[in-house]
Amino acid sequence: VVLDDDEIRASSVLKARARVEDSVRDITAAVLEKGGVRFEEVRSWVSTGYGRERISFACVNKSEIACHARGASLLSPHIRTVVDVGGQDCKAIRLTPTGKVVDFAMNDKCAAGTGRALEQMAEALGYDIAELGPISSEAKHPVVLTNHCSLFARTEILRLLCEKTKPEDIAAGINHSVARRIAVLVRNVGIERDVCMTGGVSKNGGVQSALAEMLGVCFVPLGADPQIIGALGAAVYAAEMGARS
Amino acid sequence: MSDRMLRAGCDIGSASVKWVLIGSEGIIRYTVLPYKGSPRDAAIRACHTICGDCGVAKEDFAFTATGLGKAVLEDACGQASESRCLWRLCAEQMPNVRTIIDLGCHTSRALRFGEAGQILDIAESTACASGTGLFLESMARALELSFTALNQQARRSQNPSAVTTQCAVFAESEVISLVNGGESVRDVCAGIVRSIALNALTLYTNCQGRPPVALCGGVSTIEAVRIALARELGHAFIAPPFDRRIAAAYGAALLTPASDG
Repeated sequence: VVLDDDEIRASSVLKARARVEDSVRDITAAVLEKGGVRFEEVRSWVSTGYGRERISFACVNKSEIACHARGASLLSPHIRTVVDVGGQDCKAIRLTPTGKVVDFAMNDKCAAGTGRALEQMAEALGYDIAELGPISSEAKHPVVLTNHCSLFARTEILRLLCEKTKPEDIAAGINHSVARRIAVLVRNVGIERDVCMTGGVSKNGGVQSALAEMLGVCFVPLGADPQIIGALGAAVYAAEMGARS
Repeated sequence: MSDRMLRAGCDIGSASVKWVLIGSEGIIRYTVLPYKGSPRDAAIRACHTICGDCGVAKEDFAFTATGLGKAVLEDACGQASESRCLWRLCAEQMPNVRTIIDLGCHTSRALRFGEAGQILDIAESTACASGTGLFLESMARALELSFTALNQQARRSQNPSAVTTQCAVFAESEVISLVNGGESVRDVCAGIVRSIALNALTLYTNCQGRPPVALCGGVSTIEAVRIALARELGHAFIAPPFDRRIAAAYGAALLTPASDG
């Protein structure tokens, strides 16, 4: 994300490549071109995420927790709970009324309740991960997937398909199973309103609505791509540094 | 065939179905059928095979069902947990064994027996693919290797890589990164095998296992796994007098009451 004062000048999302350095080079070029900005014009760079220590030109790196909190607060100042579900992990972050992080819970040890689990199960079902949300909305008799592990769930899904269970009912079951895992994590840190959801998994409407129902909340829309909130938070930090220097 | 002691066991696992047909002289025939999809269809198909091979009709014998899919065959004379099957099997076939470690595709478990053959403790891992055959399968897929090739590679390694991720889904990325980072495929294979062995060791410890130890289940057919686990345990295993894959099915057959025909 390139920030110009408080405005998002440009943002770009790229599927990670095998080498962090390759991903960084490509995404930097892409976002600069989109924003019509030259590299030298950017006052300061802040990195976040798994590879945050491998971006040579970033002046500092910040944790994803801090960045998601900052990004969400910028877009919606009353946010007190951020649920961030990405490909590799799932986090619940609780904030003070002034946007400071008070508590968080994170699962990065097990794929259950992450985008990777969705991807694994979508593949077993024979659909693209982006289709899970839309097709699950047609479910009439959602199944309950009993396996915790998404690899085991794959076997379960193949069996259900053999038994002629409708793909949309299985898709709804997949979304529910992921939402259940996320809900456990969110309850661990406690919920305070307003609540928002960030990360790639929040683009799946099925997961989002199942989770909202389980937690008894409505997610506040942030008005930006939910996948860029962490990067946006990093840009907010960068803007502060730029202002100070 | 008019063996009055004819009876069978069927183990319906998550990746394969195993049938064992036994008579008064022991095992007559067994079959292991890997499948995808419906466990019931696979179990019926495998049963047809074994009946055809032995010239018996399905009505000629009673059987006990076990495994994850034990409820799918309605004509079983009974159902038994895998642990009960393994207990019966050890009691009859390997009475000196104090601990049996069963490494399946979906579940791994360790059982400790007392002097009289009774079960003293059970440690099971059922919720997570870590340490299971499915873990091994996704690692092999990530490296584009067959189990045979993975075994050979692992056996050639002197210096196993550290494969530390427990989650099978995440470990797939880890092994790819290790190979891309320049580690040799054989060291990564040995690291994968070691991760399986360490999970088995945890089960062994959790059930307070004692030697002599026997090893069964599909994963234990891989020699590198047996070697790595023997190294972790510090002693060798008792070799079972049957195919390691059919342990639970064999135990189920032994649990089936002989017809008084």
